[in-house]
Amino acid sequence: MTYKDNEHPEWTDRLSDFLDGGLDPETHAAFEAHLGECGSCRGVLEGLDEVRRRAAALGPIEPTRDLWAGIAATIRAPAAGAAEGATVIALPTAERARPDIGSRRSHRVSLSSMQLVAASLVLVVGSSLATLTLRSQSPTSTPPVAATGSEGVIMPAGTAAPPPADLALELSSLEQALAEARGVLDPNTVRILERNLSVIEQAIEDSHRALMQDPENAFLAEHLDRVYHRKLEYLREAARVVESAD
Amino acid sequence: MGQRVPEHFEQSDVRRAAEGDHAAFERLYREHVGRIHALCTRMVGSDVADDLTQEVFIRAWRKLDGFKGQSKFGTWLHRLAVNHVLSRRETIRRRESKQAFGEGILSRVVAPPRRSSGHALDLDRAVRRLPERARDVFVLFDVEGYSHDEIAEALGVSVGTSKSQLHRARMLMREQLD
Ligand SMILES: [Zn+2]
Repeated sequence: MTYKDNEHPEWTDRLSDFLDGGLDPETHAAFEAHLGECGSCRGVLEGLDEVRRRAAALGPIEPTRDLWAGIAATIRAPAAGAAEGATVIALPTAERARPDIGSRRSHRVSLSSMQLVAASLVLVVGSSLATLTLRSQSPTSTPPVAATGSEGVIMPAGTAAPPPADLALELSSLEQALAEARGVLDPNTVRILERNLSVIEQAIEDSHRALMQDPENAFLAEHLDRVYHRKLEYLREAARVVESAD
Repeated sequence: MGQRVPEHFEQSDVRRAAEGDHAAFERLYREHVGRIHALCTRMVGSDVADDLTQEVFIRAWRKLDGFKGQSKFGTWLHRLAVNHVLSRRETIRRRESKQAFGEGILSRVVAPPRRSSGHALDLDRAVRRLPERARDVFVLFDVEGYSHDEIAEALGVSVGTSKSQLHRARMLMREQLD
């Protein structure tokens, strides 16, 4: 590797050690002497020191969306995450159950824990997917409107955007199909679906909110429409994965 | 849990959380999420940082019983995050190489504008361009303040390798920031 203006690699290669105080006193003194007379090495040293100082000043990076709801949903439904040795449906995004996640359980989650997951979904996603799971007796398709009576942490009631008319039917039937498949899905898979859908729902929510503030904005309208199409693509793909896993 | 009741407010939240108090754990989350998310972003990238951050906190919740308070909670949590990130990266890489299920769609849906000062943004961009090993050491040493001994242990390399990768990273960063 060659570095720019690196005239004395025998010195520059150890300048980081010098900066970090990692040299023995004798070598350190020799470095100081060399630096006193060599502008090239001094230049490199100053550059390294600036990198070091700026790195040390780098601050936290707050997430751009609230991650707590997803965490809360998982820790409030411990059974849903406790599926070591589960038959993980081969979603490529599915993480393998890790050994320290919890006790061994059968590969099908019990109804009650499924309901917990569903309930937490209402909280996190506010999607009709959860609503449909809870009202699985009702076969009529319902457009994806935020569940009323949800705690509305992410999706305040009344802000849900109705999907474009041409997508509504397919969206709701895919959601229903997924809701029905949910009972046989591995909890990890459910979690991934839940998380990804919540990202999409959040995007829908965000662009809908922006559109409410600026209803004439054609770009925002188009964007919202595009996000709904992405949701449709995602649900189609999820449905394919679920089908192939049957 | 047989822990002594600590004076520090945070430690009482840690104790409550270990006993199952979600609200206490949420306070801990709010306090530490920025630092954990930053670690994940810098080591693995912003596209998976949200997922990893959530996993870290879920893992911390499940392991709180084992936190005996010999170190600060933040230190314990951060170490847990480093180990988690390192162990998950392999899976993430496999996942990325398969052009994962929905990921493409997701990345097109969500394009969050990062709010950050230009200066920090440039530096973070430069960090992302570092080769992986050099980046690991740089983030852990120069950003997070771990020692070479600790880094060598976490990464499973020698102290000499940690030092030389740090120097390599700084030299590359210096070129990028010129
Ligand atoms: Zn020189």
